[in-house]
Amino acid sequence: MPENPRANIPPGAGTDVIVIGAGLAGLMAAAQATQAGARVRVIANGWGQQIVSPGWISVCDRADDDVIAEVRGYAAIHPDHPYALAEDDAMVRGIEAFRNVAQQNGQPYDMRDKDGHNLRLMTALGAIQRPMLAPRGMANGDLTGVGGPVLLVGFTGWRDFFPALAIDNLRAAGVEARAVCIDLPANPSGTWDLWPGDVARLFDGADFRAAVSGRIKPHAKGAVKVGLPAVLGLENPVEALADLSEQIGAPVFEIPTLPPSMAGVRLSNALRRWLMRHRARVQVGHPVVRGVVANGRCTHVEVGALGHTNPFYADQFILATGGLYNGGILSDETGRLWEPLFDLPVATPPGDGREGWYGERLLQERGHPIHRLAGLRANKQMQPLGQDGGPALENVYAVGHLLAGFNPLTDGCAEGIALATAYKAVQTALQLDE
Amino acid sequence: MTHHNPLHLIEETPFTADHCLKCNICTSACPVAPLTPLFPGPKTVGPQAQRLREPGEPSPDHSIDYCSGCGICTLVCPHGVKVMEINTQAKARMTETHGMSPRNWFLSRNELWGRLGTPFAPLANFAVRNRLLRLIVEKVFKVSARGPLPGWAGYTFRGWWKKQAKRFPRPEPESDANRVVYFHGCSTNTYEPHIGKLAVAVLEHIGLHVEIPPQTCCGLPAQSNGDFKAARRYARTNIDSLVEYARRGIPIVGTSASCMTAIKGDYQHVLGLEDEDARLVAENTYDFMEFLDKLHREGRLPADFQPIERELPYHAPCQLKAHGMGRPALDVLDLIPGLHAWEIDADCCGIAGTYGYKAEKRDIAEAVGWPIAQQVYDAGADTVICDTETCRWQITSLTGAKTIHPVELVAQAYGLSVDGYRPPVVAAAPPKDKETVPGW
Repeated sequence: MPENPRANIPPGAGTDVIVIGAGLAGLMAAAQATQAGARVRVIANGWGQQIVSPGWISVCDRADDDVIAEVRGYAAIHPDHPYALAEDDAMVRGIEAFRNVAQQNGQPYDMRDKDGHNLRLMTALGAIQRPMLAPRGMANGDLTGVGGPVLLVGFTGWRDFFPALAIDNLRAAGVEARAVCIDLPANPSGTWDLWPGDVARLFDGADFRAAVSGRIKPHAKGAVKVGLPAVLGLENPVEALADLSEQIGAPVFEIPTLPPSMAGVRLSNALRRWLMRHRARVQVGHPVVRGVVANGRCTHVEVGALGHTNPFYADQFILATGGLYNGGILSDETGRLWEPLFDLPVATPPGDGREGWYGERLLQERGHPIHRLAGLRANKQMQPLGQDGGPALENVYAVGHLLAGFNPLTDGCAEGIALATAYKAVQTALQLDE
Repeated sequence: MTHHNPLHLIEETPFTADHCLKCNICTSACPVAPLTPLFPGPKTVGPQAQRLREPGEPSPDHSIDYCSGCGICTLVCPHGVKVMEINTQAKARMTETHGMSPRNWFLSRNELWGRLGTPFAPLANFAVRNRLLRLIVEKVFKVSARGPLPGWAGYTFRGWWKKQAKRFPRPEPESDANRVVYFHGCSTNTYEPHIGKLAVAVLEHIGLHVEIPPQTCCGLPAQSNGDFKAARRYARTNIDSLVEYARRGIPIVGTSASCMTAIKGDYQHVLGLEDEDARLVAENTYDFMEFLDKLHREGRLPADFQPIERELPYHAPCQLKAHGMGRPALDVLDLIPGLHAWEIDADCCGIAGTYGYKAEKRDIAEAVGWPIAQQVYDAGADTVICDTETCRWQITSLTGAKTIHPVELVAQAYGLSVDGYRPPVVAAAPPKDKETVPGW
């Protein structure tokens, strides 16, 4: 590992970097800081949003052709958008870094490398979503230029995925599809409902996969692709996917279904293992309750633990605590918003309190203004801004959903922002040269 | 942690079920659910079933008996649901309604067996190591013949300490700032006294005056078997004995990370002892390695470590993860030159206190711990570091590797030895003692 110029915390007294949060942004910040040779501690209240999201990476869903070009154009006219703050290099390099780390850990994420366009992937209801990259199983389901027929396979009696529900929507999108439900070869649980992880573990078994393939194959004649719910293996999804495709005789792809998302679980497990193997500390389960500040720098954070709070010291702190929906930003009924760890400034939206956010407006198509406001404003170094417009703290950075300036619900860029800002924050925190 | 929150009521264990979004993050992390069809997972038996648990009504299902209580569910929940705590309370209701099996009663009373077996150590050790007897016990009592029972040392740590203190009276310190209370737990008292002796040697090397007030079982075995009445009795005895020290701000430290979990957290969040004394004791209680880490941060930990040239795997017990203190053992061991301790990626070793001793659960316990064995084998390690005794015994039974408490390495690095004891990891190396505690 390279020597890190900022590794100036004596061993045992603290780490070089503390990352707060174990979502996509937090884990990637931790991974990149670890790669750079820093000693890293991840502190998270629980696992992040990747476990309840489909698992693909939205960079700019609305882009019709080259995604990166679209983002650059957008950032040029929206200087407060996190993409503009992180600058376009950060997005490209952040995505690259993510693909490398994921690939290294047996979780390849694929994209349309030849034209840089978004993928066209189906949801469990047959709607088309357009993320830029996705775990290999999902990316295999790219419907760009695909007219069908696509075979959708469900499991009889399994409540989390009904292939027939997707047929009409797919047809409306110009993709011919047919659905079939097969009986699973084994239901070891007998009395209980299977949750996605149960099925995914079954798919880790080669015999089970062979048996499933045997039941699908007769239905797959003429199908250009075969879609199954995204539960194809937990430990070794790449092997499961290749096996099934070969045995069925058509490319197999994964369709995201109800949480927990196996793609998110696989990624979280893989990154945790990688971090631990590289001597980063990963401590999930107790929240940081307070950041302690002296002379414009954070000296340590306090974790709400059993019996007493525990202090954790570091040189640099990366906040990846999430936004309004994730606990990084809190609100009360008056509509006041605040950041709970450092009390960093958050704009309070005008109007009639929290009630005013709801009704038809919260999820309106162009997006409720609260979503753009509810976050921290930051500079190009990813340092959150204080009341005076300068960096609030010298050694604190904000990444991912915690940032203001974008709407995570309607902009179709949440994961891209996580990767770009995590990359940028690590670069500035560790003073790494490009 | 409850006292930090102004919304006290909704933070109380049973009410945290209302924070559940049914996202199933807990189910995907549970080490037991994927291994047995008898346990549907923490969400189902926890926050989901909680809605059907009315005060005074019988418990809605029995599958909860297969929860090992490792608490990984509580840790991974991003919404603050105390899943394991809810489950443990529900187990207690079941025990209240249906009574306790003789086996579970037996497993809840290790404090008693520790004391009773000590005078008859050779006979008792012969019994727990005799395959035929163990098979009979498994048939009759349903205590697994493969469950790794410890051996009796033949004397108690407390007895040893009493003699030590009498023969070599330690001078009273000038202020309470140099005092520390040691909580040894039952295992150190009767099965592994060397850990207690090394702990005391390390604390005295640091320059602290060690006090070992009367204490009993932490209550965790009784608690996890649903015997809250006994667990509260144990808890109360400990709180009453320790609270005087807590009031004076004297830290209470213990080498069993599991006992410390009980004192710091379970007394309040599971057993519901929410009084001022329980809170004071919890606030002043530290895991042994957490305490050393704290001293280091305060500049009070001597840095005269001799090198130990070894690369060793470390397992953080599930109950240690519940502390919210990170991995202080690794942070402290990092200070020893040449030593590279790395953390095994595993939630739980499977034994989960008394769970892995139960015949019907032994297979599950071994399967839960299997990732540890795999990583130990892959690394070719002959010794594993771990902070809790039952986990150490389980890891030894799963891997054949020797297991040590991190304090053994700290003592070794300080050049401390008691009764000529050397941790197995360095037993082969030539002795290079530079200090022996007077009279030891």
